[in-house]
Parts: sequence; structure tokens; C-alpha cells
Amino acid sequence: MRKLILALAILAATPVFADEPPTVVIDNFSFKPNVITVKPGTHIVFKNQDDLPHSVVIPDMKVKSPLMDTDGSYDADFEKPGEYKYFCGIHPMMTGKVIVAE
Amino acid sequence: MDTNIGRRGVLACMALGGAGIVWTVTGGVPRLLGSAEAATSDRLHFVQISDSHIGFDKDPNHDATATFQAAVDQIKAMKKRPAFLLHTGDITHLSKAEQFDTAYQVAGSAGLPVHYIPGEHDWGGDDGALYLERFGKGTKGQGWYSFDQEGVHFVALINVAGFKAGGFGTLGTDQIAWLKDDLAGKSASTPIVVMAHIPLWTIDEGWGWKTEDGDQALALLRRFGSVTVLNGHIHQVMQKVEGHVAFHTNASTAFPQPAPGTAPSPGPMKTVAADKLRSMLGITDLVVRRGQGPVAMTNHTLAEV
Repeated sequence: MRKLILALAILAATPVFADEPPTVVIDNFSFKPNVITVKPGTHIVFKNQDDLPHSVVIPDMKVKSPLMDTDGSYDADFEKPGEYKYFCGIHPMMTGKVIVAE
Repeated sequence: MDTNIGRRGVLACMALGGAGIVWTVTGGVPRLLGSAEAATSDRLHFVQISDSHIGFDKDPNHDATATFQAAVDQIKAMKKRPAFLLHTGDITHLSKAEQFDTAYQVAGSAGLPVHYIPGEHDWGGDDGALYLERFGKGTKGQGWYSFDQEGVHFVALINVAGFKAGGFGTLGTDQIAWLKDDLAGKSASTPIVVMAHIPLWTIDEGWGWKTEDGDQALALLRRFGSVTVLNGHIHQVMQKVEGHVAFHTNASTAFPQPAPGTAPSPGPMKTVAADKLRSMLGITDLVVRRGQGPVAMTNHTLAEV
């Protein structure tokens, strides 16, 4: 019961931002979530929470972010429907995908 | 752990963390040398430094410039002055102009020529623009080059450009074609020293510690009697021998990374105690001996003062 009350208290204390953009977190040399589905026109934030720099390269959108140090972030707008594979520009084994669909 | 270190044809593989070990190979058999033996009939003496990551300021090292300076000071204090330094990449942490400037000044304080190649941290921020502005003069293609000293042929390769999704370190067809031409006129008895940032041999695919077309470069090198491949990138000393080819990865001067399979990711070993850090950072002293001999390597940690 105490756990439930605690959980409710945390929920109540957590502000909800309806317009907060979806975020892909970079940690332990991986993108999380690894695949994300959004509507056209969505703004996605890539946030680096790892201990080393990373970047985001989206070939089909000709996007190459600068190197993001720890706690750095990069924003990208996904306007058109499609599947956008991306990778880290300095650790190319790190890959992810954004699916843009209605 | 996904590694081919133990694959057929490998004569020896050693991970050496210890200090002052002189290691060489004669007739394919690795052995340790006494210091007196190592000191005789030297042809050329040079030092490898790597992964200075100027700008890194997090655990376990809040001042990567200070540890890089300590490495250079150690080189300055060597009784036998090396002919030059080789920096095998990740000079900077974030490809920033001021980081390149600091690295250049600290390395230059040795008062020796320094031959650089880039790591992905020097290249990935701007496709190598700032790196090439500083170090690209007189190089070919995307920055690769070679030079000769005391009859030893040095080849500086770039395997951090042209990354593709899901890929690894890559040399590319243009660079491999250039390497073929570069080596074409060399006699098989010419000692060859190759430098490239990411290991040319596969150490761990899951961590990206491999060069996908490294085998094509190694095929061109196989006819030579003495080939030494110097890499960085993995921030720890690993060595192995295949035939006449000796592979060596250097310690970093900034922070250690874990051995493959011992951590969830290859990030910095954050919990290393401050008084242990310098014992996990280091440089490598290399001596090319006269005759068709191997290159003798001595790993020094920054804790040795």
C-alpha cells in the first residue's frame, strides 16, 4: 500500500507536457527507443546521456548532427512519411529507425 | 564477446598492461628481451602516443591535457631521444579548434616532429575539415600519406572517414589502391610500419573494434618481412602476431576503456581511482633494429616517472 501511495505521489508530482517532443535517448552506445513511430511533422529530440560523444546521421534527410557531448542534444523534424534509418556518425554500429506514418 | 583473436594462424596474442616490457618476435616466436639486448644495434627509435582526447573532462580524468602533457614530459625525459612521435588519433575529444590547438602545443613541447592521423573524434564533427586544415598538407586523398626514415617505410592510413550505417572502420577502395601503388616499388626486406586509428584486425565486432576492409590492406603487406601495425582507439594495450605482421594497440593518455566483454559498452572506465589512473594510461617506445629484425616495443605507463 505504501508503494502505491508513493507511486501516486510521484505521478501527481510529475508535470505532464502535452507538447513535449518525443525523445530518443543515447546511452551505453545505443539509441532508445531503437525504433520510434511518429506522425508527419513531428519534432524529435536526440539526447546524449552517454559518457562519450555521439552524433546522428540520417542519410535520407541529408542530416549530419555535430558531435554531441554528454547531456548534449540535437533536434530533427520529420516532415514526410517514410522509414528513416539513422546511425551515429562516429560509432556506425549504433543504428536506429524513425518511422513516419499517419 | 565476439573476437577472432584466437583464430587459426595467430601465433601469439598478449594483452600487456605491465610496465617496461620489451616484446619482440623472431622467427614467428614471441619472446621477451632483456634491456641490454634491446639496446644494441638500434636503427631507428620513435614513440607512439594515442587517444589524447583533449577536451575530455569527465570521470575518471578531469584533465586530459594534464595527462597528455605528462606523457610528453615522459618522452622528453627519455635517456635516448626518439627521432619523432606518431599520434594514432583521437587527438581531440570533439574536433574543436581550441582542442586541436592545445594538442598541437602540448605535443610540440617535446621538440620533436609529430606525425598525426585522425580518430573518429577528430573527424566526425565536420568530416575532417579542421583536422585536414592543420595536418592535411602534403597528404593524399582524404589525408593518408607515407614517408621513409632510416630505410623504414611508414604508412599513415585513415579508417575513420566514410562510415556507413551498421559498418565499421573503413579504408575505402581509393585508399587501398593508393596503398598498393605506394608499396609497389618497395623491396620485401623494407621494414614497414603502418598506423591507423581503429584496429586493422578484428578485436570486437559488437563494439565496432574492427576495420571492415582491413584484410585488403593486410594482404598487400603480407609479402614484407617485417610489418608493424600500430593502432589506437581501444585505450588499452593488445598485441598479436600473424606471420611477419605484429599488431599493437596503444594505451590512451586520457582514459582507459574496458576489455571486450567485461562491460555493457566500451565507454570510459569511470570508477578507476585517481591514484590508479596513470597506471592505465601510457605510451609505447619502438625501436627498429638493424637487419631483417622485428620492431621492439616497450609499453610505459604514465605512472612510471
